[in-house]
Amino acid sequence: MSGQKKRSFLNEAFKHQVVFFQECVEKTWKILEHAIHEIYNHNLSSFSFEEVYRHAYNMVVHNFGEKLYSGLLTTMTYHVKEMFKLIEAAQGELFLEELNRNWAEHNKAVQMIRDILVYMDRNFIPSTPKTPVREFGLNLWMDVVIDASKTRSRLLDTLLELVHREMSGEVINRGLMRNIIKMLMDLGFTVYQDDFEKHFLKVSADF
Amino acid sequence: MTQNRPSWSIDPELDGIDLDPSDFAASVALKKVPNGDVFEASRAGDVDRLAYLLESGVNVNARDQWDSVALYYACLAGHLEAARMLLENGAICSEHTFDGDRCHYAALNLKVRKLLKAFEARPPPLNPLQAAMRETFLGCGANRAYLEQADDAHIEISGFQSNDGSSFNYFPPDVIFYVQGRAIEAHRVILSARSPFFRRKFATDWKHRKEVRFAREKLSYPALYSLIHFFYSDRLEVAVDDMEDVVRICKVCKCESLQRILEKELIHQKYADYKSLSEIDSSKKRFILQGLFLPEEDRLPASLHKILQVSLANSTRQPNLDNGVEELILCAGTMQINDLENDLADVCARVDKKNFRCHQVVLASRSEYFKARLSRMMDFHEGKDDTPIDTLPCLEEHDLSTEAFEKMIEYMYTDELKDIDPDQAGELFDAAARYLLFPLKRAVADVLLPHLEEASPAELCHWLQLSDMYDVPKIREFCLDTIACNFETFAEMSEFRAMLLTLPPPSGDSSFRTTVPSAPGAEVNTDQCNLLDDLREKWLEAEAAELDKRDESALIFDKRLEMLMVVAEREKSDGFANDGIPNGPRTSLYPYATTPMSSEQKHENVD
Repeated sequence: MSGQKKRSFLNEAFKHQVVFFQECVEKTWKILEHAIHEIYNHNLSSFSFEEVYRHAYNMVVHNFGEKLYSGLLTTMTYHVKEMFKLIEAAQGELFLEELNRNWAEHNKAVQMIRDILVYMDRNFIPSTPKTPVREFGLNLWMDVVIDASKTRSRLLDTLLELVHREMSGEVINRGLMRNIIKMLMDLGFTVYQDDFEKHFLKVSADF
Repeated sequence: MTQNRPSWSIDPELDGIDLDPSDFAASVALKKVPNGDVFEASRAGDVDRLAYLLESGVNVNARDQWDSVALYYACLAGHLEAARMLLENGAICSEHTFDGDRCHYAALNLKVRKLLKAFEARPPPLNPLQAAMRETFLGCGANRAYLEQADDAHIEISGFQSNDGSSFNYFPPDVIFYVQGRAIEAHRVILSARSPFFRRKFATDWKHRKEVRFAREKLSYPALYSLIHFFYSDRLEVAVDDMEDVVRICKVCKCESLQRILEKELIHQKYADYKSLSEIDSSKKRFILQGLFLPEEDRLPASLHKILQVSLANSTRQPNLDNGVEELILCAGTMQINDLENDLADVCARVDKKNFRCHQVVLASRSEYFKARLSRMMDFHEGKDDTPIDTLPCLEEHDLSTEAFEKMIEYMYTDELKDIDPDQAGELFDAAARYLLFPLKRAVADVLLPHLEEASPAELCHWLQLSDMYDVPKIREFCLDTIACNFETFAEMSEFRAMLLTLPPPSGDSSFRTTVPSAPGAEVNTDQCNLLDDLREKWLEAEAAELDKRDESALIFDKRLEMLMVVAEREKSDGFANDGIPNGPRTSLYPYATTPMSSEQKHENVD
């Protein structure tokens, strides 16, 4: 009988926990949102991995995965748009450098976000027709930065100009060039082909 | 078969062969061997007996007095189902091994060969612990590089996808060996756990060394590689030509049981040429050994268990940290470390003020959470503590009891779960989910299930909610079945009605409830099914009328649910008024005439 009592107490505690969580879900999301902002701002030292992970886990377990996911999309989109503004504003040579730097930062951030939200990535996303975090990061970059009407042609022109200068004997920043090409490859082989290889081969042939 | 026709020239023919489920059923009635051993059961194709033997943990790769393995008999007699069971339980069928080749040669027909081929391509059947440690070993760049190069030379170590995203499985090694100019990356704790030689060396000469270079000509790289791979995975894969070298290294490393087996096998291999069909074959002969051949105390789980015992003993001897005097005690802790028996712990998990000395490589290999956390130590707050260099890095874990954490790490080290109190199961489900230890969920479910037979209806409601939340299908199914079969008993309980309120409402989607086949693609999310939808499904199975009346029965069920929820709402508002008072006579709570319906009555209603 005493065992019975203990169990029903457990049951109560469990219910209490669920109800309690429903009340503080907004607060939890605010913490997570803040953490995602801080990831993009390279300022994580005020966070504990365990704490952030636990909050994200709790949200998914208590059926707020949907909220977490949509919130994540909004926050990430916001940051990539900010990055895009910086890239767009950069002039001349700096354009590629800015692009490369932001791409690296975005990648790092996506990786970090994925680590924190790995529970969502593994348990919530596969059961819904949603895009996993990493893939979403790539798509987002593609949609916001590369597909913007000006970037595409500007990127191609800058790259081809670099190639041309190298061919005519100038020293160029090869590391930068390699990183940008790698970015195109990461975004998908067809992106690389359409945005660079075709034009590159044509120009090379002309040369 | 002609002598100069290599055996695999028929491989293209295999492509045209499909294995249907019907192939696995015997075409003729098979002999039963109720008292047979694994060899007799395989030869007779007695799958019931075989299933029993496999369940009881028989070594599927053992040879009988004729040097034959059970799989050989199953292939020879063409018992596909028996062969598949053996393969699924880890029977070795790799080509270029003595046993594997015999199975291939003996296969009665092409279907059997197709089956063998299919299993050869799979990753080796290892337990979760061994599989995870093997991934970590092969996640290290140098180790993988050798494997890929060996792959080209057709001495493949089966079933490792190298394009699996190297960063994903990577956990940095803490020691690198150089033999004949090539590197093997490893983790101290694993080597120490498996070999007294390495334990001594890491405690003395090699204590602070990140690299160890072996200059001796005689030490063979492939042999050492195979042995270290064995230390991680309990699976030795070695070219027969290298076996003598492995024996020599075993002697130095004091891996006595392994050494004995290999010495015996060497003698066997000497005569094996006469026994296998001779073939023109340039590829190297291989030998594969599963950990099952070793006595239990020499296998990976037992070895890690020993290390864990030492670490846990050391953990309790460390003072429990009190936040106020933390620094002072930390100093005391460092002084003490030298006195402790060397457990090679390199990380400390703090749960509810108790410290657990642990090993990063084990935590990281078993749990993606710990892997991410450990590799991100520097980025986050935890890494910024300015603790003295000598102390272990500390991971703080919240919302978890020390008991549950201890059970969990015990499972992480050993794949075993002992003495679980059913009351603990809920917390362990939470831990398994949070730390992404999916096999642990199954293990806890197995322990819990027998207890549920005697559980009260209220408890079952509790477990149903938990298992739905943490996605434990086994428990969820059991609870749903029980509730569906005794629906009226549950309907009378306030706990059950209260639970109904907390669940998401059943989907209005009629595809779930009708017998009309659902549109293609409609059932995308089978994982996250609605509990009440599933309950209705189960209830219909148990209680519903004939097929054409099924929809009407479903409607009745939905009405009944709605009614119960109204009652629950009412109870809830009443409950706030007189909280804590046990449920009085229930009849007063029924606003409607909800006399329990038997199946007959329901049918009347439908008519």
